[in-house]
Amino acid sequence: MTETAFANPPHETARTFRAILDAFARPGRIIPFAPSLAPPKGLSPGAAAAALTLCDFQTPIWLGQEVRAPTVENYLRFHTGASITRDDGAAAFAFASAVHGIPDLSKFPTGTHEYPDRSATLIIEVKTLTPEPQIELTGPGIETVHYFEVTPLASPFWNQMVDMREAFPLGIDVLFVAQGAIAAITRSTRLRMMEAA
Amino acid sequence: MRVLALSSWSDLKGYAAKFAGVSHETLRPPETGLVMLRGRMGGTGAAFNAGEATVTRCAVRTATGHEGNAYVMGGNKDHARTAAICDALLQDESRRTDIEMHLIRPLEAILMERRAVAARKAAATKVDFFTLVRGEDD
Repeated sequence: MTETAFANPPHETARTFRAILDAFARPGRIIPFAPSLAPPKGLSPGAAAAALTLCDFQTPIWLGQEVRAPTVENYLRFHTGASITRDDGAAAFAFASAVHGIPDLSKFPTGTHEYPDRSATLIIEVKTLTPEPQIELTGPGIETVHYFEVTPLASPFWNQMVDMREAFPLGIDVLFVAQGAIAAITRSTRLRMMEAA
Repeated sequence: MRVLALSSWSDLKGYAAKFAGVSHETLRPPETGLVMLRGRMGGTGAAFNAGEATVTRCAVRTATGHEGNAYVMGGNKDHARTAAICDALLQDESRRTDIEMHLIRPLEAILMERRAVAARKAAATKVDFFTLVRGEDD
């Protein structure tokens, strides 16, 4: 059974795009975002809104184990026209959930030096996004320094992200989707784990 | 679906009027786009792009949970929606025969008639070429 997508696609995709744009322009800032969508089980409304807004037939989608379900695949294929790939090295967008385990970032495409844009964008569902001092963020889009906390992501994930910063301008960009809010970190963001966390 | 898509809107509108009023939910609102038509010279040559065609598509779900899809040449959104609704009704076993008898068959007859008329008109212009014996061998 196919679920319906946005009732008013032009307005709702524009609103979603604006929220995602704000999130990427100000890494670590928590942007309120609560789309009215009823996607199939496994996909959160926020992640579904991002998919409907960003994906098309040119962007293969990779789905993490927690998100992978025939209903989700059909939904994305039907409404976005994107192909679903099992090869994380071919993904343009990857949807994962951090609620049950941490996605492995090592195989996603990070672009090439000629085309750094040919990289994957990760959309990770998380439980909460709070402005607590777990991660210290600096870099473009952040005036001085910014802190935020993403539960349940812990040090293995952040260590991978920190390591990937070395390869800049190659790298992946990550959008975190919690209930009612989104936040992003870009490949240009410098991350530091806070000791207390 | 082929009959629903190929029938002219004026024919479909008339025959589908009593079916297309069912309550339904729109999975994909009618949207118009282009598809590339490809061809092969003589059916065997290399594929080439013949040109683009305007196509309108629509997907609906009726209250009974049956899904219908339509792809229709041209930009008529009402045509696409009506065809999708009829397609959804055709998925419903209990309504299938009714639709077949009172919608698909009559529309198909009209299509066949149109095609026969076109074929007759074309046949009337047919020229049989033959070579007269010219007696050059004598």
